[in-house]
Amino acid sequence: MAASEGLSALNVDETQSRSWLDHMHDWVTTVDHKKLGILYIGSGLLFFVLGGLEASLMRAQLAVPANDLIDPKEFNRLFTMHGTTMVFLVGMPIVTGFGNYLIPLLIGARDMAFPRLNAWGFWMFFFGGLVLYLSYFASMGLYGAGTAPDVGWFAYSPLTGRAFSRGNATDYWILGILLSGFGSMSGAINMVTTSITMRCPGMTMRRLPLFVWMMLVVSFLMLLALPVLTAAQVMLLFDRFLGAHFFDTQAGGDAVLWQHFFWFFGHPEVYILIIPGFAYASEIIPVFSRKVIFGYVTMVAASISIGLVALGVWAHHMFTVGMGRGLNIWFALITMVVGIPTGIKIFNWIATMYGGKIRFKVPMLFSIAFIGQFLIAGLTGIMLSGAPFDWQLSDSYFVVAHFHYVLIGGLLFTVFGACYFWFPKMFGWMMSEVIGRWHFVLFFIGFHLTFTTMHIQGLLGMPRRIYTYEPDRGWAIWNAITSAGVALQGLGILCFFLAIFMAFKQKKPAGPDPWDAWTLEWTTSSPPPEYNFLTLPVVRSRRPLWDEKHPEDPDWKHE
Amino acid sequence: MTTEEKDGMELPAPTAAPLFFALGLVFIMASLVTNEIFAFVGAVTAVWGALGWWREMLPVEHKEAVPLQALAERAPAVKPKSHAVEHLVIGEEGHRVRLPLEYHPYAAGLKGGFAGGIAMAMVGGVQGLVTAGTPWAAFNGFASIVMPLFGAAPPADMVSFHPAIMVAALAVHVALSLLIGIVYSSVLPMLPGHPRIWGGIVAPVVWTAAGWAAIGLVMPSATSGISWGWFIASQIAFGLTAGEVITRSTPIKTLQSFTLAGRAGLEGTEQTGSEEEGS
Repeated sequence: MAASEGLSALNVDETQSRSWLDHMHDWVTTVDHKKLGILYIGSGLLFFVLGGLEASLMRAQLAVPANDLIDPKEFNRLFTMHGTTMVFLVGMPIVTGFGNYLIPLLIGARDMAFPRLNAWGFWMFFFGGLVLYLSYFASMGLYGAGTAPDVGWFAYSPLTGRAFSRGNATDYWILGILLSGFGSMSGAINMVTTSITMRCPGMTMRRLPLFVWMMLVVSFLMLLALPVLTAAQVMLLFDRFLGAHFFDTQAGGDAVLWQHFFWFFGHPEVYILIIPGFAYASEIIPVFSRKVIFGYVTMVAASISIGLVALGVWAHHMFTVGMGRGLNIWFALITMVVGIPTGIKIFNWIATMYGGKIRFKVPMLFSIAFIGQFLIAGLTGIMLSGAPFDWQLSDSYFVVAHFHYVLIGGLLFTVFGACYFWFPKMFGWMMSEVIGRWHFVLFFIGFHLTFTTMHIQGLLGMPRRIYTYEPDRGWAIWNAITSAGVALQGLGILCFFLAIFMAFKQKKPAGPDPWDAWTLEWTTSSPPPEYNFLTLPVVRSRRPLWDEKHPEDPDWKHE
Repeated sequence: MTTEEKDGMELPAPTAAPLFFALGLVFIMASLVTNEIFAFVGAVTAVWGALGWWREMLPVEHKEAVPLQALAERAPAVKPKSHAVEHLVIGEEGHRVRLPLEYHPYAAGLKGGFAGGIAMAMVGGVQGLVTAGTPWAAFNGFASIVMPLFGAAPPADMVSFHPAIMVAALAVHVALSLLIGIVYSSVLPMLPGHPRIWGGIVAPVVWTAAGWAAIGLVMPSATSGISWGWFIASQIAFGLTAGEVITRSTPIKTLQSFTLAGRAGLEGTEQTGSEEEGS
């Protein structure tokens, strides 16, 4: 043991004398899943700030009627970049980042199955994001200045054809998303392989933490859905550079084909983003309810069911295209079916809290808010799944409200909960509970001011993507409230970054298990060593740490 | 102490090869929208990265020994908690957990629904006799819910007997009564206190309140034709009768306390004891 202590002491000295360049070198050459996870999450937060600023500019423009703060062309670019950024450069890297960081720790492994592929995936994503934002400076060619893409995050044809989209702005959109998509696919391969092949002794599939199960479903969805978008983007590149006519209706191509390709990816993408939110909630809620998760098997079954159904509902985004009665009925019915496994999950989270000794810490506050908000998102989703209802409200602010309830009320709330929950594990310091509560309150109120009111604007007939509106439409007061909510959300997010800053400044030690939790990541130090576990753990139940804390009543007796 | 502990832990060595490979590919793709020179630089960078990656893996994977954490930095061994685990006991007196360990058979629900439907129809008949001097008024009014055109008939037609209208009213009434009977048989065991009060009084009142609130939205023309006092009386007649019939049935054990294999019919139905626990 003395030898190892000497080696460690030497390492400590080296660490203290190293320059920031050495640290930078460590980060850019790392193949460690934890550092890559933090890089993913950090990059996602960086793009989150950009996407948030874009949203704020749009809301400033729409706060009052007949406003001319932003011209229509710039508004088109803003909603395109906001949507693209939030989906591909914020949601995807953050969920991949948490998966990267936590999966090996949760299954008792020392790293991901393919550590170098993991690093490649991150850099592909990051450079893809930079390529997209390079469009602001170079989309007319390096010497001709640039503008950002303005074709919407879905880039419908024929808007993306050369005739309607001059210059290279749309090409930057294609290339940026194409490149980051390769990163996401490699990440999915890694997560599937790791989860299946690198589990520690005793970690059977029936003992796999729900987080891992759900990331497994997400990874399969990525592998099935992303290649379709990639292939469509290559076809679009052929159209734009080689004169192919896949989506060129003037030359026998089919613009609706792009919609089918895009939404075959686009709808599973919603589940790729929200199922990780389920995963975070499924780890946080039991710990802060002091109860085992209710209905583990049904939670797994519901996750798999959602994954399967998610692949068959894409055309509910296309009810207004005119697909015909038969297809409309099919996609309406199958969309409604999604409500069943999702409802099971909501019941299970509530049942987990029911009768528990609930601790209202910041991660739990975000998780509880998530349940209610996601329920509303699900209900409006069921409403929109009815084709006649959708015909009335498609492309209105009602739809914008619905998917922001999913992605902010659902995903982002759980991401914030996950950040407060696992930050102590990642960095070894506690985040401030007081600042975290301010963050929650401001963001919660701001979220509802912004997005609850959007339902009303939609019902009143306000179309999405318009850059301004006349004062006589009756929308002004609702838009003013919506924009005011954005300011509160911004303050909440400032609190979040302040909490991170203060955690590093105050350095309040977290210890290995600050929440008295039960899964394997809490058995190792905070932050974990590079090798995660000195000796690989052996587990006998779904809550191995519970078994050690309660040898008189271990879980394995009941499972 | 194992050999691994003496020498440190072997992990994949850091490398910039994946970064260069990714950067090279990005440059190649970006050349489409920038300059051909990017394709050349990208190709060189990608090949450089790919070769570096290759050499990391072959002939043997490049690993490096990572020194172990100092003892002081390691997570201490997990200590058993001193306090005992508190278990949630299903059905414990005063406890919030009220899982239905037993439920009424669906057949009882059908019987209850049928009996409740008869009681409700009798109240409807009495209502017709008292308010219009004929028992058919309530049946005709009920039929007009599903046959809106009939609802617009002259007042004389609304109080006279029509065989076809009666058949339609009975079909809807029987179907709804049976369905609500099944719902009652499922829900009653889950409600606290006395099921007869819930099924006979509380549920009909809540249902009436919901109907009163919603009818103005879904069928504004019907609001003036409903006598809410009689409406509540008919609902209570249904609830009391159906609830009485259902609660007299012999309950069946639910699968709540069975193992998963037991629920699937793969093994005997031995109970597992408490399902939930807390600390």
